Amino acid sequence: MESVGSLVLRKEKHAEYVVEFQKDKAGYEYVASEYLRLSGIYWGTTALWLLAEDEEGKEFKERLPREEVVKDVMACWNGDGGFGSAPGHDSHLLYTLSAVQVLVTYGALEEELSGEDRERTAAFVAGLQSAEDGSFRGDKWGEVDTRFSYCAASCLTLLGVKPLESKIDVPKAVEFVLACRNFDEGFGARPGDETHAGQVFCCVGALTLLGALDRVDKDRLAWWLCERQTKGGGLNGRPQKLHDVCYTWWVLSSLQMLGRLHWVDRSKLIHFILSCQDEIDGGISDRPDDEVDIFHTFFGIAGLSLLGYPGLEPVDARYAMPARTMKELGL
Amino acid sequence: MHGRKREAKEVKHSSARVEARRRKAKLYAELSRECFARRNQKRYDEETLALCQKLLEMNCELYTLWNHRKEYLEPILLGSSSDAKGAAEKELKLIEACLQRNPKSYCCWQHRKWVVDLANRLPNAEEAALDRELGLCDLLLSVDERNFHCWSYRRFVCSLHKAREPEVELDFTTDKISQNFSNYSSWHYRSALLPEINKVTSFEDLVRGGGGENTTTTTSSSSVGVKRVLPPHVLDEEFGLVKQAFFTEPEDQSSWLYHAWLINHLVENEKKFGSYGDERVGERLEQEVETCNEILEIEPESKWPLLTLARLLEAQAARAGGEGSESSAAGLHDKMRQLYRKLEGIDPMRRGYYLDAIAAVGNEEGG
Repeated sequence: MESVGSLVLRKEKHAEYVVEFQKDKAGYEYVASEYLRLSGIYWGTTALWLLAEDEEGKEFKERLPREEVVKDVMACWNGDGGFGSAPGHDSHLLYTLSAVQVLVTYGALEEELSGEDRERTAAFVAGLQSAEDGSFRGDKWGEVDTRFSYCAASCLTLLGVKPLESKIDVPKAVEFVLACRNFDEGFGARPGDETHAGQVFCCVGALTLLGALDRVDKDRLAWWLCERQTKGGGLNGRPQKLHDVCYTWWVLSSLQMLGRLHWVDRSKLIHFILSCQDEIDGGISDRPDDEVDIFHTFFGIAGLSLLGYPGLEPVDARYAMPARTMKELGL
Repeated sequence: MHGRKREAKEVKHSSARVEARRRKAKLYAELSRECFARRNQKRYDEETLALCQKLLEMNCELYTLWNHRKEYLEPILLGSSSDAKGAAEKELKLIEACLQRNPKSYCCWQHRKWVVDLANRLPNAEEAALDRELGLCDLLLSVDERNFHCWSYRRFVCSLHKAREPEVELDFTTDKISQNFSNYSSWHYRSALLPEINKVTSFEDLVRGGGGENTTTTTSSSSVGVKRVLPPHVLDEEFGLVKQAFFTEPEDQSSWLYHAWLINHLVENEKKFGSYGDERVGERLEQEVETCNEILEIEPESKWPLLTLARLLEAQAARAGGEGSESSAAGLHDKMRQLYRKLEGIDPMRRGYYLDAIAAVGNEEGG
């Protein structure tokens, strides 16, 4: 196992943390995170997939029974084709994507959703596009955000919609994303909104999946992204902000899609991520010595995977899912 | 858990703490079960709304409960009854309390937008209500000047507010920047306001140098296409402002990123149209080279003026090349390579970038 200084990735600890979080259904963290539970399932399970094997050569993902994971996901399915964050919560594009991602990773999409159901989910997603400007809403209440452009492109592709033009207006979707581009070549949530590394991931990801990444000035954008690396080795999301493990993912995956991952200092970044581990209870936090959570645990592990940290399953930068899964799907 | 300190293990795992969390979880779960049961029965009575409000005050990220409130409010706000305004104000108070505790909550900001948008369409809507919203933005930006949710909301309010001209907003950004040159959010906002104020037709064109005919420039009226650019006097002011920032905070990337945009704008438009006024671009580049050199005399190892200088030389080399003066371009290329090598030593984290930049200079030379 690669060590940076005295630091190594505590795979066993992190797996225990994820499994404990997922199983302790009466715990406060679990109960109070119902507004994003389905995303939590996605972060936790994908983290286990990426952690690959334990010291005995057993896959970490086996520690959460597949049928339970799938059952938890399907409990959030609503008749309108979308998924809510938890059972009884309204359908939203964010959680619909998380649900589809988990089902695809577990190879359960077709057994859980019939052809008709998948069609309904695709219609739910496509129905959130504005005919006027090509943007996507998160749900029927109308919040517009380039996060949703990404969610829609990813979700429809994972659902097997081919070509995307058969369901959505691709040129308009592309134009909306480009209308959110800023002076620094980065992207914001809506036209006029400030660039943010998380939003850059969504827009670069959307343009990649929509086949329009050539519309971006790769050198200028990738340079802004590599300037996110701070003196401490971690990455921030915007100029003059603190570094934070979650930006490891947003920045690195964007750089990977732009073909310029080598513009950041790999070993310093690995050191920063590893220094954010809770070595006793497992899990990864935003910064050293902060409280860990499932979100940062996933993005820390996914970032390490992109950086080629040994012993991890490779991750696909476009979908934030195991590369193996995407390969099997031919995506 | 952004920014919350990790607890000592003996505290976190103490039986008292574990028990307290169990109790808290149980209470939360009970309230949540009750609220969602009522929400799914589509109950909008006062007791239900009060219960849901209580849960939202504990956890404002419960988007489904905000949706429940929208279902209740929509007919009131779309109707013409006299209590519509009161209902909106009451809702805004609740959202404000939630935002004070959680100023980065996507769903709180979205709900506020939704309420304000509908309330603003009421027949008795007043501009004072929008002024209050701007006041809230001022307040939250004074706590966190980089809250991008709040900036976005501010732009939304301005889009409804007829008296809030972009010029007024530009002055606001000037104030913010004067208070703190590191306020990247303000620099960003300026970059979006300038094209609007100067009637540059689309931002996309501004960044890239778009097509179309021209009216606003220093060049002769017969030149085609320089219309969609910032007028030179505006650029003068912007270059002046960034220069102040350079000398105040030379290590802060905000102003240097803004400067990179101004230069890019100038050079790309000239390339595209063959005319930002040739003389001006040449002069401007020379002037900016001088500024970098001035700073480097004081701080010879300073990354940002070194990098900016390398890029200015690149722009000069491209122009020189265009004029067929290959020897001067080659000289500039040598200097660029030296600068990038120096940067590689000063800023080793971005070594990969500088090596690629050096290789690009080489390729250009070879080609």
